[in-house]
Amino acid sequence: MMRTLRQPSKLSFGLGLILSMGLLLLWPGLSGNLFSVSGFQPHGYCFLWRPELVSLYAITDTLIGLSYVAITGMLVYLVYCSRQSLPFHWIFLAFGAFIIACGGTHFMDVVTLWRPAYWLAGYVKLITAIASITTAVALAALLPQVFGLIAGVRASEERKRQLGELNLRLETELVERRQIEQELRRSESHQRALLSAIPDLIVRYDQHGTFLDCKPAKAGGFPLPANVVGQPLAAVLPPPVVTVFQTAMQQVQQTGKLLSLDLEYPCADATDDYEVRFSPSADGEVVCLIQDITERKSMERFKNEFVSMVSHELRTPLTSIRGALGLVAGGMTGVLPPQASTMIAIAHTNSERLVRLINDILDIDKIESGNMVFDLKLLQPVGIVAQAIEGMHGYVEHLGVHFQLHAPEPALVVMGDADRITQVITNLLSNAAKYSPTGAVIDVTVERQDALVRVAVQDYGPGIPAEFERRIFQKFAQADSSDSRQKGGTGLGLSISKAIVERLGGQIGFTTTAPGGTCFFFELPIVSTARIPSMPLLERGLLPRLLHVEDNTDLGQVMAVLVQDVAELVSVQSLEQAQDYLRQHAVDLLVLDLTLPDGDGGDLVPWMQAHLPLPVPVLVFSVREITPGLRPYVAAALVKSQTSNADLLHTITQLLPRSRVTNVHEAGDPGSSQPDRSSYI
Amino acid sequence: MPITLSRILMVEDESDIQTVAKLALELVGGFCVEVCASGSEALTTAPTFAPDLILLDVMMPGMDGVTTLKALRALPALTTTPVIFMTAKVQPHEVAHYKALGALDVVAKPFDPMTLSKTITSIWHRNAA
Repeated sequence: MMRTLRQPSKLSFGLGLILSMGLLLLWPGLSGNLFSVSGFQPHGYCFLWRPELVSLYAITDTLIGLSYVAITGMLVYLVYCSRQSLPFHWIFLAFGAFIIACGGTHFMDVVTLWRPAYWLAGYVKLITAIASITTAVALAALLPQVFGLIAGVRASEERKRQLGELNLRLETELVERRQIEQELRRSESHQRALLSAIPDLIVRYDQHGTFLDCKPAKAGGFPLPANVVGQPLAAVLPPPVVTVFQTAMQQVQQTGKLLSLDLEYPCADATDDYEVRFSPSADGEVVCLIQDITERKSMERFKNEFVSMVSHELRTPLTSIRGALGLVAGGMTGVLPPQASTMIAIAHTNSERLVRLINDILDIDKIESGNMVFDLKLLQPVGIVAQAIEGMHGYVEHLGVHFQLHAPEPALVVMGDADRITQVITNLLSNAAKYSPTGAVIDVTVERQDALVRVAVQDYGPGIPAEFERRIFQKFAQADSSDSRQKGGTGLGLSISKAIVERLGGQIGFTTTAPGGTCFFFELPIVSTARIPSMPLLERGLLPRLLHVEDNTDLGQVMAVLVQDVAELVSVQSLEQAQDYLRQHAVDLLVLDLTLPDGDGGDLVPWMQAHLPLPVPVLVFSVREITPGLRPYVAAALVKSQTSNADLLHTITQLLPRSRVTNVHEAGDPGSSQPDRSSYI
Repeated sequence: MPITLSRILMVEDESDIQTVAKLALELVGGFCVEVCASGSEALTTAPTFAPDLILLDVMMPGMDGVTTLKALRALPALTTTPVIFMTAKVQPHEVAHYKALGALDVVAKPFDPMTLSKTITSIWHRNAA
């Protein structure tokens, strides 16, 4: 645009110059009279040769002319210096020509003061006029360009301002970013300090099984080379360990929960033990803490071996001692002199006590290691208490005390292990008998307390010393050692009883009663027997039917109690039994264990699809995770160790229909589908 | 299986326990008791003694109780003779294991000599019924 504009102005300037040259040559009489002075008087005559006026004109015109020359010189120098960056610099030269021409006229005015060269002066004025007009025309043609230039300058100033603002903003952001970076660095160094304070080995790896990060353990531990970052698991760890890591990654990504497991790592001559904790991290990564527990495990093994040794090696000689003394004391080897008989009785009683002590120690070990197994069944505590009292008849007879049982509601039912509950009751009864005076009557009460059965044993002994009350359920707790020797206890009974009652979902405690004496009690939740076992069939049939495929009968019992209000439960223990049942009966929900004695429970799902007229929702409830292939075909999957009874019941309730499915198989025989509830008791 | 229990073969390596148990079973229970000190001795004695019931210790040097049971079952005369284990190892999973092997029940050591015969008789009757 600038270029196309510049060309016509330059052209018009050139044409103006050519025109002026023509005008100079063709002006009438000019060539002949250019330097002629004859016939004229000098200009000084006009001023009457008054020297002050003449000199004023001469000096001012000379100064003006010289200034014009200087201005032109500066313009030329400016153009020369800044030709590259100055737009349309030629106009400055044209302007210089115009000014120098103006200067010429002033010099001529000085000359004509004394010498009347008016032709020459006019000629110079003509040149000046031509230069002025040409410059004016060219300048007019340049006006739009000049306006554009001014607008451009304004726009550039606006842009400069905006740039300034932007720059300021960027600088502010930069400062903020630096602050954030500093914060991050500080936080990171704190995190690193925290991490390095953890003695365990910590690694991070991604879903492709590549190590992303590694913080070495403080000392020894897991055999991992120095530069594992960037390496695949398989290049560093033995295949079984890689499998554990990969499986764990899938599991924590699916559940989003922390997973902790013990890992045996084969070494040169033994096996090291590690506790590995996997935690899901962002972007499908897993952070993994590895702790060396070899020492702890070996201590555990030692303890287990020790317990096993106690269990067998001590019991073997004790079997002979107790047996021999029992036979002699029982009179099987003939009648002994009275003193010998007393001695044998003491030895026999103490051998019995040693047996109880060993049993109690083993029980405590089982409780603390979580290995105490409960054979859970529905049972009536009144019956167990009565049996326990009967069983202690011989023991309390020589103490001269006796028990009186009060049971206003004999049909109360709890869920529990009969042997373990007997153990608790026997312990409370023998304590009460030991601490009661001769001839005392010990009241034993079994009664309902809201939703609990309370079994209470009231003795009339010396009571529990106040300072001992807080320790009474602790191990080896007895009011004082001389007393314990006298009473012949192990100091473990109440501690074991407390653990048993709590494992059965109840609680144990005591109240001190005036004027002396103590009431020990324990409470267990009452199991509603409303629907067990003699309910009208019709009413039972309204509940949706749940088929539980599970070979662990303990769990079957628990399930029976858990779902009694929401479903009619049918339990089977194998794949074959499940298939037999499903062929004959409609089912509303199937709860499936995967590890069954006759195969993989998962195989039942495709079988059901192939053989059943209606689809049945399946809830997998097993010790292991289900395979990805099975997942689309089951309604839900729960892992036994990670699921509370409440969670299980909630899931079951969600999956059960509101009314039950009817099936052609049973239309004619409503009774045939009813499971035998009495078999659970 | 005879209706009444009279002949008992006891396999037990500890001589003291042998004496006590034999005495308890003979004097209190009135049984006819034959004692073997090892599994291999039991394999030779059992076919000729023809017991109604075998009491079998679990932890024995050489041939242990479980191996002895399997070897006894391989003898034609003893394929169905009831066996009761007598052991100090009576954790619930151990008891379940012994029963799964075909034992009638497990009697815990130390046993009470005055009630041992009664205990064994009741296991016997429970099984017969």
